[in-house]
Amino acid sequence: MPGLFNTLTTAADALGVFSQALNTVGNNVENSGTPGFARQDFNAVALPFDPRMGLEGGVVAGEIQNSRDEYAEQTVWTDQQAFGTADQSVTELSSVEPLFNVTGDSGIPQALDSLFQSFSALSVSPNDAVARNNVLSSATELTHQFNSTVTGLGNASLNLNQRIASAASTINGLTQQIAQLNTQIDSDPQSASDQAVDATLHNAIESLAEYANITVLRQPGGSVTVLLDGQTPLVMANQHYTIQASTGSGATVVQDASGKDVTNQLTGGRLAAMINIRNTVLPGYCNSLNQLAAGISDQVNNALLNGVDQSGNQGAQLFSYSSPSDAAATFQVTGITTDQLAAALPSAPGGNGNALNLAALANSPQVAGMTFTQYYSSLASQVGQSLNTAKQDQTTQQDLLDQARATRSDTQGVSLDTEAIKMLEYQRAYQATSHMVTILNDLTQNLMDMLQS
Amino acid sequence: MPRGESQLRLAEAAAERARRLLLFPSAANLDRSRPFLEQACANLEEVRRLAGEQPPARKRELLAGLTVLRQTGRRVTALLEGAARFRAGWFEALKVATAAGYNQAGEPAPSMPPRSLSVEG
Repeated sequence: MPGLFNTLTTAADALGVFSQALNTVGNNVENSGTPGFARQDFNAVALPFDPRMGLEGGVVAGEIQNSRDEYAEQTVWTDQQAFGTADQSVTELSSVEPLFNVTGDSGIPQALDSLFQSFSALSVSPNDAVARNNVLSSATELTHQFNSTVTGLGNASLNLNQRIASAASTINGLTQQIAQLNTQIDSDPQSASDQAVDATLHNAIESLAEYANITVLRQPGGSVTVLLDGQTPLVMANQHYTIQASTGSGATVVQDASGKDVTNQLTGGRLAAMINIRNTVLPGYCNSLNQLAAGISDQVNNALLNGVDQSGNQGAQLFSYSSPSDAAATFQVTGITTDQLAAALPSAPGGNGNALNLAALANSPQVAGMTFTQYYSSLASQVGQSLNTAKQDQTTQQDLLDQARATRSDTQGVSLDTEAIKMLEYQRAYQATSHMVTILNDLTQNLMDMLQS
Repeated sequence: MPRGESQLRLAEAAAERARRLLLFPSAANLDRSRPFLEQACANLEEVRRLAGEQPPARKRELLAGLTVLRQTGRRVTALLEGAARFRAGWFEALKVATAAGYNQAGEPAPSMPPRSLSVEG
């Protein structure tokens, strides 16, 4: 009788174990669409079977194992961060690029062309009132174009300030969420193996990685420590440490909870991309425009001062700006009148000698060894090239992120032995495929060189 | 249409198929991607044979197509490097795990270098 009783007990236990296994499978199915979710595996543990010793065998429920692999997670976070950087760069540069026209049919290049055409027309009819008036109106239009381009860059900078503040707020929200999950895990050890908590935690970390270069350290109890650039704490146990963006007319600065400047620690993610464009890229474009505006103003004014106006007096300046550091924003036409334009040289009053000199400025190197138009074209193509490179990075990083996510799913819960056996197989496959990719890239480049020659 | 245009399109399509396979970089997919890359190379050889003497405008059209192909080639390279980098790190982690097991957090435990103690006296 005891034997039959034991057998029935064993069978009942086994049914209980299978019920738990079904629950785990059901959980996996139910949560498969949850962001951050990792499959859990149910392990049934066999009990010793030896009837002579009274051991009836059977199974009991073992520990439920989370098949999340932290190495694969780290890879996803790294790629998420790189994608965030590239994607944000595209967003920001796309809003700036339209300010720089490269075709020459509008904006600064067209205004520049009109100004030098007006100098040419003046050299043909140096005493014609219409020609003189055209010089002044073309000059005014050119200054307006500079002013509006710099205003556009200023607006882009202001918009960026808002987005930087918003990104800092998003980061703070995510770190707060992670700290709350840490509290839950630390107060209830069972939470560490709770699928929903685990999925929410990993989802929050993945979202955070898109915004900043973070380091995540898993603590023995299951909670996580999150550091910015491996040094500034964002989350420790149940505490989250806020960051704050301080935006003004100068460089935007990010401070940690203690007020320390941590801007230089931001090397990846959306916030870093915004800071880079706000503090480095846009000021660089402004500096180039300042240099160009100051160059045009100085060279044209010098030429005019070397000539004489219609009354035979020394010529007056056409342009002015307040200082080289904000020349483009303050670029304007002086109160010069049409008859004060010095079209003639002192040696030949009433002639066109100086108008010819003014027109010739268009074709000689004036700024950084380039003509005015070349200098502007170089700046505009630099803006376009930066956007193009950012778009290529965005596409590549999206690929790498998709790949990392696919690989994460692929490597969850794999057997060590199976993976070790696969190592040689992978090495062979990588070498062979890499060889073919190199051939393809070389062939493409050779063909491009051939067609360009 | 410039001579070699259709072969260039075939090369781009083949490279794109290889790229899609490498988004899921199992050893089997790596092997599957190779014939497409070989096909792309063969198509490019055809383009080179046909593209020689053409008006500049036609050459520019081909160059535009090659620029797209070059970008796809770069994406394929990045995916291959990304997958190789992952596997290298993954095997390193497995190697350590096999030798030293896992810690409580489920991560590979740091392996301890072999040490010995000798007592003399």
